[in-house]
Amino acid sequence: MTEKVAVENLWWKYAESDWILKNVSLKVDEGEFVVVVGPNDSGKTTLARSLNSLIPHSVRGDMKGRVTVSGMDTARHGIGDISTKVGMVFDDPESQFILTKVEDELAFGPMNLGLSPEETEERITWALEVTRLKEQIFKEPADLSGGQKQRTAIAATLAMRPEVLILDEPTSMLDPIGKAEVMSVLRELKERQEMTIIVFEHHLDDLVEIADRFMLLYKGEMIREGKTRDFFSDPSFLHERGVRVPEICLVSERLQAEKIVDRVNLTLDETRDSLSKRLRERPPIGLARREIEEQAKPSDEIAIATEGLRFRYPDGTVALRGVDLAIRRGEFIALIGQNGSGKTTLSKTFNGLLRPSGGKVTVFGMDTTKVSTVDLAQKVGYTFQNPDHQLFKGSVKEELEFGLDNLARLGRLDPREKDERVRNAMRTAGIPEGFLGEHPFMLSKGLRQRVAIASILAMQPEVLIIDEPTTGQDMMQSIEVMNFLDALNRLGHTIIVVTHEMWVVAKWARRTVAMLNGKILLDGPTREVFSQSKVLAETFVQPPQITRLAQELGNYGYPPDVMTVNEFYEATKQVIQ
Amino acid sequence: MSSAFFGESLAGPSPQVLVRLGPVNVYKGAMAFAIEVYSRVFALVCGMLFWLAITTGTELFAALEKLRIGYNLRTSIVMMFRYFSIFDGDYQTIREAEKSRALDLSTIPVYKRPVHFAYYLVPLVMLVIKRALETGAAMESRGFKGTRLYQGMIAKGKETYLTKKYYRMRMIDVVAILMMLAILAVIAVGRFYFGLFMNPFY
Repeated sequence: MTEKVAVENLWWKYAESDWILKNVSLKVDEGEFVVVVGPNDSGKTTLARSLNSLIPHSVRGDMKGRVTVSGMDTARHGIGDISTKVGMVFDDPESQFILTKVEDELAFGPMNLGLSPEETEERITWALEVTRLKEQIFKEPADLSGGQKQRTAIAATLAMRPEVLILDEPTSMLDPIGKAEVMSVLRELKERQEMTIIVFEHHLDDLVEIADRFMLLYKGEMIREGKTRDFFSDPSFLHERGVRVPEICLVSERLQAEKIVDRVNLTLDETRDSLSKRLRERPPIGLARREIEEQAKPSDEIAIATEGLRFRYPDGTVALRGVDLAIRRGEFIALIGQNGSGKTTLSKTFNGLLRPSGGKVTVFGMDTTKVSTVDLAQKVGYTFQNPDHQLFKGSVKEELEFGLDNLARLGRLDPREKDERVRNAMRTAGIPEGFLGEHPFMLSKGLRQRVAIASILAMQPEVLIIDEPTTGQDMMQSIEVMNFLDALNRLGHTIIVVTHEMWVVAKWARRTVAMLNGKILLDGPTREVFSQSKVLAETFVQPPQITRLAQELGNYGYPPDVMTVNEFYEATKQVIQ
Repeated sequence: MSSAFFGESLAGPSPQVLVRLGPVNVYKGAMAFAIEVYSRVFALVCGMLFWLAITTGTELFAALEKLRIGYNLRTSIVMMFRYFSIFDGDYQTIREAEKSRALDLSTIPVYKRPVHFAYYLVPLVMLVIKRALETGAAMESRGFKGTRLYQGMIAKGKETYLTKKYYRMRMIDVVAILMMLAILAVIAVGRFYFGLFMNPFY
């Protein structure tokens, strides 16, 4: 096979930083599909950018070693030359849309190559077919879903007919449908177009089925690589280094140790088939041990209630169509559903950011239409998905004081309470004192998110709403944020999480509300919601992989509400016995 | 307002007083002059809004390409079209985030609000810089810096995909331009040969 990409002893550091990449070497052959995994800050994006010569040509820093793509040395060829060989897709679908329509966006690359209108049109038609975007050709970015925008970015790159396609966390900002769309395009590119593809990604459930090889980049070093099956033969090693290993791999590793399965499986189908051979049909068992106890014991007091809630945006979009919901004090709730299902709109009506077009929202008995946002902010705190939208001040301390200053100005807080509240919020959020003088934008994303949450906590709201707390975070950071929210819940705060991450819902949320087209489709304990996978499918949301596996093995006695690897393992032992 | 009330200095005195407000005379001529000026501005603003409503960034890009405006400049102009909506989205989210932290500008006296606008600017500027870097990387990855062939095509007057698509003169365009030229000619002749369209109060 022809070697397409070769990285030899690559070292890189940004101006005034330590080495980000340390002696990284890798080779990718023509037609290979390679996935590079690793926690945040391990150097994945830096490596991706060095493959298309953005590094070293567009970023200042020091480089040692050599990168060649299709025989071109990236240090000697500028990005203009390399872009004819390497296409790159970034994580944020919004920021990489340059022109104002899908068709024009696809024309941008070929036009830069100086292609004739006829050839440009031919390439656009091909790229639209591969990415199945034909019907969206005349649409503008605002009219596209996240998945469609990301497919447009892929199509725009494909239109340049690159020999190598690099995707840097292409699904990290997408909802489940968007993720599935992008994965389907990648499968198409791999199977029919035989393109050389390198993906840098955290979500691996689908990629293990497509990729030929995996590589682990950890703290700037390439510490493991191998064919997909070999790479995942030791899931614990990967898990300990912050890789979100598919649950199927983790459970089959444990079952392999018990000699229940022969090897570490990669896919749900493989595991189902290998277990089916060992089992005989029997009725479902009850789980002997529940890993997630239904430990939340919310009080009977209703914190938030909606009655026939309807909401219409000024452009006429109807977002909520009669929502009836009662949230008790002390609950931990997940709002799930596709983008546009109404979950964010619903959560914004809880603290008065949006006022109902019809129906009623009450917060601790107060009608939100009759109370100011300032008053509601003291009861219901809202943290946005992107912490960068909610950091206004020059230091962490000022940031934490911001809301308190506003309350003091309005006479709702005694200024003498400020210092104590700031200290409490910092302690609860686990922000070290040394960070008080730091500029919030200089912190890591995980810490910025904590500062944003702490700044809300300082106002001591009883209910905390967090929109997508794990977006853009790796596994360890996600666990850290969610454990923090869990701790807050145990302190008595009502927690409402809006999320697309089903493993997060399964592990932390005690109650789940699934939304579809502005209505509540399912509402109940998370186990019950996930056990109704057929109804849930209407929202295009899939339960966690391990839950689906248990449901597929239902004939052999597995309960349908298994939610964790441990539970599945325990259930398997019972079923086998 | 200045044209209406201080019209004498702008348009010269006219004998017909429309209304006397204490020591100030409002003349009919000055008022007609003010109406004319504001009508022009109003027409200009409406025209611009109409143009913005019916023109996409790419159409502008193609038009600027025909005019041989530099690639970097016209791409920047088009990016402004893209960024209006993104910028507005960020601004709305930041406003909501501030409301969640008990800062509602509607509760603050108007004269004190400018101080609080700084709180919008910090995250807005940071987000814009971040997005600009990401967009720049995406553009470079799609050959923005390797455009020798493309620039050569334009220098030779060759048609590119976008100009072919967006810059094709149709019969209706020709008719519209001819109609506008005809109206302009009628006005010019009427004004310069027959003294029409002049301020009637002078």
